[in-house]
Amino acid sequence: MAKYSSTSPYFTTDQNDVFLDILTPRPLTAEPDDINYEIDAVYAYRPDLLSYDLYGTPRLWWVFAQRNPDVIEDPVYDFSPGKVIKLPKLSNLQDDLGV
Amino acid sequence: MAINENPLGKATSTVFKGIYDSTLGRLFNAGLNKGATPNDRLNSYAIWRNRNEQTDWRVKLTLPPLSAAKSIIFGDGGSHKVLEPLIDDLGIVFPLTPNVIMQQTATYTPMATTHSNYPFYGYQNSEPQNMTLIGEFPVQNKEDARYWVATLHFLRTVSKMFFGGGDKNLQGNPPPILRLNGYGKHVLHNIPVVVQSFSCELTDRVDYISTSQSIRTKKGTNDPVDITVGGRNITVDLNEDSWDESWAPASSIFTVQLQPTYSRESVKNFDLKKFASGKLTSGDDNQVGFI
Repeated sequence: MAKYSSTSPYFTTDQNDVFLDILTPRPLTAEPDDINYEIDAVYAYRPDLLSYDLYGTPRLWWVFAQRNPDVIEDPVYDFSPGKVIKLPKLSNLQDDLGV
Repeated sequence: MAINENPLGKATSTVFKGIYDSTLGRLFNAGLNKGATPNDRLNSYAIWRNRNEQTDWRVKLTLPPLSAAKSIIFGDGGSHKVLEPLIDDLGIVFPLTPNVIMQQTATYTPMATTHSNYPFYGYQNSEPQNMTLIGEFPVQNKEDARYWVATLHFLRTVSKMFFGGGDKNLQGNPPPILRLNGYGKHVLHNIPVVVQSFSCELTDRVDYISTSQSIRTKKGTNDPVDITVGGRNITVDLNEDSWDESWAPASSIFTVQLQPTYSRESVKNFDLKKFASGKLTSGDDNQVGFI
């Protein structure tokens, strides 16, 4: 099977030749000074675009849902304008995910 | 030929990409930094620091430090226990930021000349109008209640003339001129004011807290006893004569009408150029502040 990259939400999820196991969440460090951000119209339903702008890669689109499980359930369709989310810092992503 | 294969188009694209980075544009509009790092410039910090005479901008209504009325109002050495909570500041410090309403007027008299479409205005005078202070006084414990009682008594005292016993040199004088301070040197600094009126409502909708303006002592001794409020059913052996109980409302509002008043002597020192430069609004403690 395919080998998932370190930027993938499935990087730590077990897999074998037949199937991919149930997702193993990749926890992120939550810090009190993480920025509060009200999702703008330009990033509506585009976590990949925000990931690209903030972190330089669209592959971390899922980290916003991971950091804000109480606000975002569906990583894409819950990424709607007006919602206030916490943005994980790149330095924390590098430490936590090894990206 | 595709556009990106056109050397001119490629060069144009490169130039515009250099001038306007769409990523940075989006982040800038969203108020974000690359890497989601906090913007230090937008952070605000709360700093506790000690207040002193230079930095204390609370609203105060006090006697001037050199006032001759000090010993009459507060007693020799601060012996008047009822006003003891105010002795350090020589008056009231409003515990919460009060509403201050002030007004300045310049009066012009219209001269209506016959057969004219526009009157001419002749300047008459300028004056600071009376000011209104509306201050909320929350009372949560016996110390607050002591302060409330002292405030009430102070306002009653400074709205009365010097009459009866005491210093014969002061008998017959009008009520003392106070100093109003607040919000720093160029807002309200040493404004000479007299209390024209004050009001305070004792409502039936709040609790009342008991206090005593004197120190309660054990019977036959000078040892102070903790004057925890709660009425007279205290079993400790006490000298009941020292217990002058008062009750203060848990929440009340003092409304004080003040009239700025300048003596002829101090008005002699007025100079519009100095006033405009701010020197007359921020003098030392012995100088009156002009508004």
